[in-house]
Amino acid sequence: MVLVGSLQLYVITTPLDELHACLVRARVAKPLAYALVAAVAFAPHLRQRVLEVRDAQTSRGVRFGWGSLGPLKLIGPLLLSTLEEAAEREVTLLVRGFGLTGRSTTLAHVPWRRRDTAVAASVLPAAATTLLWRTLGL
Amino acid sequence: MIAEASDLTFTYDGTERPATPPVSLSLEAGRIHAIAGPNGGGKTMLARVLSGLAPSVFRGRLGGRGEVVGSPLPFLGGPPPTAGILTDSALAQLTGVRSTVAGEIGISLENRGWPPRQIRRRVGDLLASLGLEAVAERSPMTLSGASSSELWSPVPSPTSRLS
Repeated sequence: MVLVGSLQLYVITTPLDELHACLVRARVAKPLAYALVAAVAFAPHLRQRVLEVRDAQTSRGVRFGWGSLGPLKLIGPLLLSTLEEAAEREVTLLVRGFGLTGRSTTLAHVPWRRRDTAVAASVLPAAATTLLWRTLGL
Repeated sequence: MIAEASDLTFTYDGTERPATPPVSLSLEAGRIHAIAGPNGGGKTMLARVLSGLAPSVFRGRLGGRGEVVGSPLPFLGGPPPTAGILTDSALAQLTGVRSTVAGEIGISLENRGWPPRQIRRRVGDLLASLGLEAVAERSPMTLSGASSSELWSPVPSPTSRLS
């Protein structure tokens, strides 16, 4: 829930089309750029679906205590419905030209501003230091 | 005619038995046509063929002949912008990578390399034709059920999920 909540906050504060356009402009492979943005975009719906499945199961008498098999009864329907929706979305993406290899355009115009350079210059070293710190176990 | 077919079949690569029975049809522009049949009868595959997904993505071979909006099948270059598939789940129609309804509609044309100005005009015309100009800048994730259905899933399958 903390992870989903964090992603929800991210979705609210970040225009997804601009994020997608930036990733494509940074030469991230198109399928990877799509996967990264879509994973963030649909995270809030995962939370909603968890609540729906929980309510449906609870109304059938399922208990969700950690000592029971309750969590499995939540994960099963959640996984199945997510896979079903993913199969439908695959068709959506293909029909809407995501598999095409020719030149694409974008409506999202994201200018690179001076403050973007400043933020990148401060955040990237901090991220690299944190990664190194965790990797070396310091 | 918006689409015509004569003894059209589709057979997956590596199999001999067609996934669809021979289909002959004529679909008139401006009318709603229903195709009914049992589960596994080939309705979905027929839609994939007519929309250009088969055999460009779902690999196989076509039998018979057909054309959609004046172009003969198969569409070897992939799905054309003149045909599409909408399923009965509105959420599954969203790509998720556009934060406005207009952007979500326009992404099909972005992927086909249309100039942004033309995309904006085309999307504006489409929304106006549906009387939905007011939702152009709304998040597609937050549309009401009616608006969402009108845009992404206008004709739900009347027999889906019946048992």
